[in-house]
Amino acid sequence: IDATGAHDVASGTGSAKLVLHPLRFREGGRTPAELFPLLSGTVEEARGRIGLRAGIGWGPKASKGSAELLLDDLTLAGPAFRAQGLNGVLTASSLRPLATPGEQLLSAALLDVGLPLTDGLIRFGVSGGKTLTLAQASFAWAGGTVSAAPVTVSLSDPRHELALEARGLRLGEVLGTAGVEGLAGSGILNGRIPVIVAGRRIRFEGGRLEAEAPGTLRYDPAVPPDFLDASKNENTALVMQVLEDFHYQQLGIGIDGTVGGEMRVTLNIRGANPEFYGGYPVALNLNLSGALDTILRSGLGAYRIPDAVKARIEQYGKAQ
Amino acid sequence: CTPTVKVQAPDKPIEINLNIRVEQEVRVRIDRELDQVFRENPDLFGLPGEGTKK
Amino acid sequence: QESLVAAKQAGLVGEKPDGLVGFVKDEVPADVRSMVDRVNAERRKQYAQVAQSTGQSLAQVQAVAGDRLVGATPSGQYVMNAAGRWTRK
Repeated sequence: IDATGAHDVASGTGSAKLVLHPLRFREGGRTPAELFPLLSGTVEEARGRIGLRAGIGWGPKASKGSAELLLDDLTLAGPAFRAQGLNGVLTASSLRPLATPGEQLLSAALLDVGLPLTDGLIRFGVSGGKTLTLAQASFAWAGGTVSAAPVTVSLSDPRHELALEARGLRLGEVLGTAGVEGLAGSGILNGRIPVIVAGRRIRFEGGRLEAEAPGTLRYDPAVPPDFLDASKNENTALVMQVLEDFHYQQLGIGIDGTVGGEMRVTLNIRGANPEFYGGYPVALNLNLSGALDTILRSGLGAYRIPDAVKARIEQYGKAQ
Repeated sequence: CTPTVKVQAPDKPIEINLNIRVEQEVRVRIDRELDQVFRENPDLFGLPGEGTKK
Repeated sequence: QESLVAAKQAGLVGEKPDGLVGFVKDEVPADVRSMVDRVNAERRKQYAQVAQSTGQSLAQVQAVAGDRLVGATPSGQYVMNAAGRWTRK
């Protein structure tokens, strides 16, 4: 880091220019926590380049300072997330209080938070040191897009409410994330999932995805999991039979609960299975509850990013 | 008068409701078996004498 | 004959997310290396039996065992994190 500065003893005011020349993180090289101890525990690993140019001031008539942060194909990974292909030049017109000169643009080839979100575009601004305006945060997932509705949050407020908008998600890919053997479906989902962030706790409240047109849902596992053991409950046998080849007119998925805690997913479908009572209309309401995402994550074991997603990441990188 | 055609919707659909509690059954069963394996082979896992409790 | 506990305390080896023991350092004494190979071979046999008796995949059994063994590692010793890096607990 190069630092040049001046200090006026009489007024006690001074300023300095800091330049952190673009620094490359390499495989097995220094970790972010070694450079920025604040990050240990949240960001454990980095690759790619960052650079920083900052002007800071001190004393009574000090300048508010300014900074420019360069992110060049940066990868950051921590226990709970992995971000790949971060690109952007983020500028702050003031450091005390932190403020940005209008909207900043950050692109992310991949944000993996249990789900591989790709083609990320984030536009945000900070003012008064604590007001964050999120103008856009959109990602590609399951053949469609998931984006946060524009929102302004006060960073000092411990509780934030966001709304995730889902457009054009392919039912087959959404079901694929659950990694349930023998589960398949066709159709396009749209919907909205309100998210409440309170400190480290993330909660979904009244999330709803609906199919925009009729489609199919098939659940035909070679070995049904024990919690669907048909012998335990005759309704289960009925549901298993109906879902072998279900042609739905309407399909709705409800999502509620706390990430890492108790979750509830409901499936409401109206339609028929041609082989079930000659295609007699059926209305099926299925409620799944439990530590669903924890089970999902531990069940997946070594989680592998699907190859199609990897290809997209490389191609996204080149498009920059 | 024009004949009114009433499309006879099929009578009420069969309503099926199912609540499923997804237990960590899978994990509980594996944990129970591993407890025994850890207990019977402490030096294989570098653990103190008795098995570790989760 | 070097014990697993001593090798762990010496920071030569550590627990991995897949329930097996890994080499933290590149150069490790021959007797430690052969001890670790024996330990991993025996562990694989035990995990295969657990997978068989619980009707679950070997990978899932190893993931659960790894989670427990990494968790049980005392602070100061090395464990491999999900990103494949050795970190000191």
